[in-house]
Amino acid sequence: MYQATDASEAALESLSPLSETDPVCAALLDERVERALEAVDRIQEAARVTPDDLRLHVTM
Amino acid sequence: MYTLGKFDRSNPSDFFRALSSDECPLSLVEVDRHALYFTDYLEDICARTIVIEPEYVDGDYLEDYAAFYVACFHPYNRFCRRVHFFKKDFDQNYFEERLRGPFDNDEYDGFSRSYLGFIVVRPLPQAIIGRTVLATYDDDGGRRHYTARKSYDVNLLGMPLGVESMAFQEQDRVVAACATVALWSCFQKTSEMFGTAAPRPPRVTADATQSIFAKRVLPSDGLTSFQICSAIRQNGLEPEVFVVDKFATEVPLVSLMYGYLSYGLPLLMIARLQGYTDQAHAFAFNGYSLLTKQHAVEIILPPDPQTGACQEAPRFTGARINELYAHDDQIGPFSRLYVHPPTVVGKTSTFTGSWYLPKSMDSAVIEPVHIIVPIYKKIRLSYIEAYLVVTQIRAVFEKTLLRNNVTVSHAEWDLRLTDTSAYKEEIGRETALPPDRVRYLLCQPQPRYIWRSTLTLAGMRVAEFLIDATEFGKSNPLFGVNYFHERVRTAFFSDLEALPTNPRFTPNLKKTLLTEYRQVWDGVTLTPTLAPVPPSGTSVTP
Repeated sequence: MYQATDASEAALESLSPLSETDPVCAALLDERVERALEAVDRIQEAARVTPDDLRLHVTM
Repeated sequence: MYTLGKFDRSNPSDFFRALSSDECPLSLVEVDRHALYFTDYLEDICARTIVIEPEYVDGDYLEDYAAFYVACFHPYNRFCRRVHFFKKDFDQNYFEERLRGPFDNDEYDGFSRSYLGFIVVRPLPQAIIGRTVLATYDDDGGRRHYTARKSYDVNLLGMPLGVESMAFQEQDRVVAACATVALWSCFQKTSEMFGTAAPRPPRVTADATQSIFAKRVLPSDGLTSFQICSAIRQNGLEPEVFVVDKFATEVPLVSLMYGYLSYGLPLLMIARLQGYTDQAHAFAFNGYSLLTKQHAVEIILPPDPQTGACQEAPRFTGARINELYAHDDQIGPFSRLYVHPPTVVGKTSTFTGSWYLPKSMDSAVIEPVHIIVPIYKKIRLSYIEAYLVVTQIRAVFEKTLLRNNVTVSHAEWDLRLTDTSAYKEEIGRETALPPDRVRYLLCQPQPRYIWRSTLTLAGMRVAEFLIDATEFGKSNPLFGVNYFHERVRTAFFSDLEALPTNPRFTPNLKKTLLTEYRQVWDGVTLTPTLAPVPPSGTSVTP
């Protein structure tokens, strides 16, 4: 599908717009984006704090 | 009057005598953990001469005295001793001359520049280390950043002196336990940043225990995290609380701490110490060591559920931090905590420092439980909420890189809090943006507080996203984007434009990104020279 290379200056200079990418590869990467975005729900959950979380006694 | 002594680590007798008193004899000082820590610390910051003010009225101790010690049967002294340290090696004659006549300007410059700060010695049988303001270690070539410092003015027998530091003191377990002292240190800096109060320990303990409290307030044997939050609120600030176990698998812990510390904001960490069952300890963080290459992976992701392949976690600046610095009231000021990356899925970074397992010389693991940031009420968007915005942008950006065969692990995201004054000051010196864009950024009103996220690829800055920190989680806080690389910009735009509707990618965020591009960046030619790495050290060496 895709082969990773070093992120050199030359590699960045050769970045191309989506229209020049193989559609099959682009579709597979869309699935990856979808999975990456699933983290949004989990991160929102991670930010919640309840009163029970704060009962820890700091004694030392 | 005063007395003068020499500091020498190999024979610290003058220093130990300066710390001793009728209440705490020399034999106890010589084995005191703090005294030994300071012996090493003072050697490292090159202390050579000690000047002692034998009867010093210290405001912080005086409040402790009034709140508790004055009512004891034993007649505790209300006067402290203040011990000053200088790099300069001078004797009694030299100092006497300074007292009997005006300074030559150059001479005084040299004298005041050699000042390293002071320790207030409390006249107590233990917990003798009162308010302590000492210079930090040097920056070791730009690696060490002691960001949560402030300027302290000191007057020694009429001589104006100063030092950059964060005040430290040891808990006395009477008016203050570790959490109170950690809060007291943090409030020193927040008072300078936000104009709030810097209450003394008895006030902090009283503020923390104003709500329903099941036992006596003094002597204090500690606070709960809830009470720590209460003390922060009473001081006109808001507690931004992060429960480490909840975000460990999604948000990089050290990067989160860096996000606040890099702005100069101190933060508290409540942690459990290995071997000390059912007890927790508070640290007041004030700095970090930032390397030029990666130190650790901050998050270990589970394997890809579809392919079973290892998933690479996003890389944030915290991956380059190998040490954090904190006031640990049971150890000393600016104590070093080494960062240990997680080794299994679901765990976060842990630390080791100067804590040892009971009856052992093996380091005890410090496991963070809560991060509590005393923050100004107008900074409403937390690190995690800003991280959420970056996560959405990053998901698309990684597609851009991968379909062009560029390794995503070479992308580093720097997410840190700043304010409009600091940002505009930096933008005014910016050479990598078109002059019209610089002018626009300087003239356009901005939110007072900003989360600034900079993306670098292989050490090259390619984009920057500006997030309004005064907004709230459900809003659309992105208000500006700067691109530093033309190819990256156009390639990312095409992926963004083609992104199918996804409930997890906020429609307003996409709209702002596209509008910014079309109205500001479309057709703009960037200088072919790649943007230099910002001076704050956000570069990355893969």
